[in-house]
Amino acid sequence: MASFLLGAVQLAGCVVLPVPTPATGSEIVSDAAIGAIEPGASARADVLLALGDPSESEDSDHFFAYDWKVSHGAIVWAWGLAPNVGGAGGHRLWAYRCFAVEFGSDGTVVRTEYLHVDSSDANSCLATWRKRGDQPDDRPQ
Amino acid sequence: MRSWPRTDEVRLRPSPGRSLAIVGFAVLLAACAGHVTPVKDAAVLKELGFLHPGATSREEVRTRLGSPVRSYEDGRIVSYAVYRTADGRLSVSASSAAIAAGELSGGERYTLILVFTPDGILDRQSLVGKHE
Repeated sequence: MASFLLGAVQLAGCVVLPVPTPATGSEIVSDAAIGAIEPGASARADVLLALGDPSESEDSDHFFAYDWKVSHGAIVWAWGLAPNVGGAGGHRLWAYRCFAVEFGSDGTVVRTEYLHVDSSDANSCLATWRKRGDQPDDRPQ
Repeated sequence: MRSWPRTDEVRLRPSPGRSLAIVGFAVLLAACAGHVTPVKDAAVLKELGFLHPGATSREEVRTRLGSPVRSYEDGRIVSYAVYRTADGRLSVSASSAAIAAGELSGGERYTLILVFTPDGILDRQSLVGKHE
């Protein structure tokens, strides 16, 4: 009973708010950049000129991947138990994304994929791509 | 008004509501997205004025910039890491001495991509960087 009351008091003095924010992150590959790379038309040079060096490359540059993380919001909270006892904090919520490209033997883009990856796979976009097969993720929001 | 003790998260907290507002504001302040795009700023590109598509040779680039960081398609495409110095110039050198002396401004880094023709003449170029 005592712990129940204590819990109720704690809950009563706790505020948790999701806070949407403008997108933040670095080295984000934009929707426009992804849209400009066309399978069957763009070459390896076009991809490099638009996006720079890839984060990952495999199989003698037949596969490129560009990794980034982006945040669209955060959780902020404040709590109080009694006068002079309380606190507040915040935690940004991150999502991990990547853009993978496969080139043909002539250096032309064969296919591309936009992928959501888990934080544990944040630096292994190409491995995630192989693992998923033909299951594309939605484009960036 | 209540006075709140220190915790790991926020040092000064006159009230929970105000603390929440401060944290939320800090989160908003930190929000800025750096997209990877080719640089269009003429002032920045002026620093690479020695590069002339159709005229500059691979040898001249090597003499000026040294060995590339990466090369693709048997050297037809090369990339260089380019840093902006505190005085606004671009440099392919990011020596630890320069960093220690504060000559590099916030570690701002670009990638210079150069595409050559089969006979070794600069064909296309792009300076790719992070932009808000």
